[in-house]
Amino acid sequence: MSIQLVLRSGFWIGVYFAVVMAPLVAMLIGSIPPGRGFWREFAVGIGFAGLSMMGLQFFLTGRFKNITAPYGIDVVYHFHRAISLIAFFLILLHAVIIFAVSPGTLVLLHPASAPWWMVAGLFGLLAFGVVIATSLYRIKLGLLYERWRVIHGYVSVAGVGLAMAHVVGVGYYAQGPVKRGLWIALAVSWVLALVYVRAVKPWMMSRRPYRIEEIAREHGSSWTLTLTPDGHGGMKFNPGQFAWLTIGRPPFSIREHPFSFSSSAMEPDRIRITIKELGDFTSRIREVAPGTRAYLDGPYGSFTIDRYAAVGYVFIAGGVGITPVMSILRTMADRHDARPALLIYGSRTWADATFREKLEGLRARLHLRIVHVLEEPPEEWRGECGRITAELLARQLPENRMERDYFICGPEPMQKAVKEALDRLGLPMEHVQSESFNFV
Amino acid sequence: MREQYSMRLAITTGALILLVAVVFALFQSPELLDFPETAAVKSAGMVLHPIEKRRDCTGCHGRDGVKPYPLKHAGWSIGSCTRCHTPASGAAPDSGASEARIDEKTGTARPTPHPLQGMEECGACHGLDADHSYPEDHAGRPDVSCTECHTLL
Repeated sequence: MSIQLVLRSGFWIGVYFAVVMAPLVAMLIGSIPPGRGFWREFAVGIGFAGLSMMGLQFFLTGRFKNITAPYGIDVVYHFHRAISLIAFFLILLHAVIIFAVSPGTLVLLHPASAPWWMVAGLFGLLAFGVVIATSLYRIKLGLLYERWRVIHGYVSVAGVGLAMAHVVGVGYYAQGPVKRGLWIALAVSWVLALVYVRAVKPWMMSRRPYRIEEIAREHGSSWTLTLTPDGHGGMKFNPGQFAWLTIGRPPFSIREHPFSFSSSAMEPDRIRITIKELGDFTSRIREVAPGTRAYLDGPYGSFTIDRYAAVGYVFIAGGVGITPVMSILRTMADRHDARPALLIYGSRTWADATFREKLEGLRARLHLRIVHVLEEPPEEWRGECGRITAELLARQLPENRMERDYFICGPEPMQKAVKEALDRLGLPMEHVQSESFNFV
Repeated sequence: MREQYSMRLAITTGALILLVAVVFALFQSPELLDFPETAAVKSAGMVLHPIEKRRDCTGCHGRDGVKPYPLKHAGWSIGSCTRCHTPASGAAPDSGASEARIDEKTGTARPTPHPLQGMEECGACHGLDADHSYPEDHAGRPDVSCTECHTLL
């Protein structure tokens, strides 16, 4: 990673921390209300920080390229998930501490006499609880991804709004121009982020539509959509990146899904996206008619050779994880990139090996060696079998393995196992790149 | 590895926030650090009656009292009241209060001239209909609150 990227990532971490801490600092500026005991003030401090963190989630999930670029959007999304849990814990702790150290405050919960700001706080806490529970247990709750996104979006906004109302209603640390100005600035910035993500950005996307030119069947229950730009020059991207795809709906709809490009980055006006039939949306992808309008929000992602210069590469793919690798290899071929590349590609059966013929075609244009690994090989198979293990890697990796960069893409368990195997072989982990999209 | 990086970043942020919250709470709890209390309270109302021997403000200002504190004060400790609500200098009785109940020498409520044993229900003899009735503005105050001001001779 370049020095510039390190500085940019440090800058955004600093900005994040400063904004989270801002309400606590502002409380001590101007006229300061008297303290009400250590635990009560501690509870207020973590409550304020928790709310500020919740409000900042609109920025973390807003796919702002300046913010995501230094880390990769997957890191930002994982941070969003982890920090949400911490923010919820702080807000819950805020309530628990206040009720525990001041049992008299329980009178505020009485339905007959509860003031509006207490009701707002309670419902805000409940909303955050719903957001966390539906995110952690979406599959167990049987929630479809699209429905979960709607609940997640609206309930989060409601939670932040109610919590803000609670702060204003209590009003203890919200008096005076500095404190009031800070809370107004925070609230306005959250609303602007929402407006940008839900209105401005979709409007910009609506001015750059695509048409589905072709839909082609691939091995392994996968389909490749070819998108051509409708009245614009297409999308420039780095090989290995991905975009959020909306098909047959306006971009204001939140029914969009992330998919990797499988085409060469040298063809921004003829974008191909390969999708495996895995879920509710993807299993209907074969029904998309050519000519259907589509929209792309992207490109995103740091899983690209353009970010990590090396003397050669090793790509380790499993299943549909071959898609971004295909984009990288096609781009290398179009760029006449002579650097050596090794592809270790795990599939369940030979019939499931997506792109196998196209990969053979690329071998003629690149300094590329391909190792297929089949979990259920046919009888006449003489190649590698089973899973991608440390022993298999030790057999197949080139002699200059320490000098190469490694790109892993596939199901989560496969990625984890391969990383552990590479670690066992003594390869430096800073040379191992991967992207993980197991968010919810 | 990338997921772990995010997790480490989030945990570090959470830990730093807790640390800053502790510093903030200590700053607002000068009694813990023995700092001079500098916080000025301009908005809190003055106490318009003497408080010399009255320790439990909630007797009259609790949620069920005659002049209950605002809901926002629920759960605040008894000792915290006078941190903001300071007695007015030369604390005079409430406006409209009966001069008769104030002892001229001490400026506080007149002492009780009789023993209290067996006479815990003050309202029985000093109710509004009684000969020695308390002032009208005392109506509604619980019997237990009388001796907070009217002590034995």
